Amino acid sequence: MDNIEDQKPKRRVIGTIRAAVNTLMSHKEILFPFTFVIFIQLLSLEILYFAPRYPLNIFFAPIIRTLWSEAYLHYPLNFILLPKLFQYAEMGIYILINSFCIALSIAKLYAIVSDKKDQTKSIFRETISSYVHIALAAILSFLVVMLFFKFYGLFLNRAMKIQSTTGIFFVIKTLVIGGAPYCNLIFSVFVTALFAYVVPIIVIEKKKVFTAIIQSFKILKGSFWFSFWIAFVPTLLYVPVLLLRNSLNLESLLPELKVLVLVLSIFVIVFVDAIIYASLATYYLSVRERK
Amino acid sequence: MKKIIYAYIVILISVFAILSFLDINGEYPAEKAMWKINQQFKTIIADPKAAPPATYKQVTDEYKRFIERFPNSQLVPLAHLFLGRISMVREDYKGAREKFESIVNNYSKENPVGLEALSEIVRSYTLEKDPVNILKTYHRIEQDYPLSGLGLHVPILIAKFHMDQKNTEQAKVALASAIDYYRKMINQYPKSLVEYNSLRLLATCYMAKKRWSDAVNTFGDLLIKYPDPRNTGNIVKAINTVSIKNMGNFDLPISIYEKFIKTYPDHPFNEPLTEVIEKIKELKKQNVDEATKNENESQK
Repeated sequence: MDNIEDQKPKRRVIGTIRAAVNTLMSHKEILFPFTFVIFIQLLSLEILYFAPRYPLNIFFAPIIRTLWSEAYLHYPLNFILLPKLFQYAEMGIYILINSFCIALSIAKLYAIVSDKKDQTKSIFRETISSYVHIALAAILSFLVVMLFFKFYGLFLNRAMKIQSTTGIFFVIKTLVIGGAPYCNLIFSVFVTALFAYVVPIIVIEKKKVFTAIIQSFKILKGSFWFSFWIAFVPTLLYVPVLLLRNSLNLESLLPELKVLVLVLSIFVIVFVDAIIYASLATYYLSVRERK
Repeated sequence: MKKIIYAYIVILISVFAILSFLDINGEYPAEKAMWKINQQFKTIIADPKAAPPATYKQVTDEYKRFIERFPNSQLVPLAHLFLGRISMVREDYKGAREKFESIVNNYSKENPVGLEALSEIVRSYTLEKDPVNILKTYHRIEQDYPLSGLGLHVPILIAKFHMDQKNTEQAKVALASAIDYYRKMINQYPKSLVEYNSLRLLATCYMAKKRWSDAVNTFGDLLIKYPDPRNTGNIVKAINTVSIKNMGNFDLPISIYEKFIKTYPDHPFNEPLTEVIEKIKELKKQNVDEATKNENESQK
């Protein structure tokens, strides 16, 4: 008689991540779409870096002047606005490009596992046919993250009003304000886990976005925390970058250092994404195989 | 795949190089250069006696090189100003004044750097303890930049100068002259920043002369004519302090605030202002009760 436990794929977080990393290292073509993501992000950062300067300021100056202030068009205050501008650019890049590149990588990984690795063009054609669903899935996960940020923002606004400089209220204020970037990170991981198998299902099973979401939730029923840890462990690599970003003081150091930290964060985030989605796809394929 | 990655790197480097080249002598590189030189100047100012002469020379040369490299930059007048300030830090006040005078002569009165240079000249005479030339320069500022922030302050600065020098009579004359001057400016420049600043300075003059009622009424005019929510809090504090603490008059501020609320029924400050009125009424009642109690006790 079949043992039900044998039907469940073995859930070892570190083992799954290690297997995914080995797959990535031995089949570097899976990483190729991520190199395109890095290129696009670096190019957009470069353009924003030159936004206050001629000739790009012809386009950007009126926008920055209207939405923020004239001061941010001058050195070194432009470096205060740059991370914010880049964050807005990243939102668009994530929805339109990142998500598609992640889907391409998953499709490539699936092709390698199914011994179809030399069919790059057909993989591209098949994945692009699901582009709308992939982008929709990215928009949905992005909206959930934004909802959390808005919700957390209410706590943040309340914490800012606390006037105490000692005692329990001061501790709460420090935790809420100082912990904001880390809370945002953890919640992003949570949302990644929530939508963990949507893109693999869209790409591999050729399903539409809402069907993929329902099927993904079915898989998550028995493996949510496993998927969360799969997303969380590689994300720890980003924590030192976050510490660096939050500790840089513009006045005391070279302002351009903020740009270098942004460049570093691009590489780290893309690398972390590659590991996370390769691991999730690997686990999904093992679940699929058992079925 | 390697070829594509090299192509990405080439594109990124090319874009960077092209965009840098297109703006090589623009305003942004000038701002960057100026910022770097100013950081070096800040280290000198932090401890002028500890900075070696070579550092002074280096910073001076950097500012001169900046002027040569970016002759059309809007920051060139500032570079000249900083050259003067380096001389001030070295206590070469005569050399500093020469540089500041050249700025005043070379730049039109529309450029605020001229006013900044005159202000530095005042500072140099103050450090040299030269009262005659301090007054002369104040008068120059008043004549050449009458509507500027500093220019408007000159009459009250002259009065303060005399008070600091313990010239009581001259201080009184200067204060009276300042009051006339600000009243004239208020009439000449209605509904302007000049009127706003003149009203504030006029109230300050009245307070210096202990003409409390005039001071409160001037603050009241300021509140009603310029109801910007960013300033109302401070003006209300001033009215309360002078009326209640100095005059013991609770009705004057209440009448001013009630007039304000009537003039601007939808103003965002009306709610807190209403609370202030209630508090003043409460204070007045407490004051009356205490006065009555004291009177009764003294009669006993």
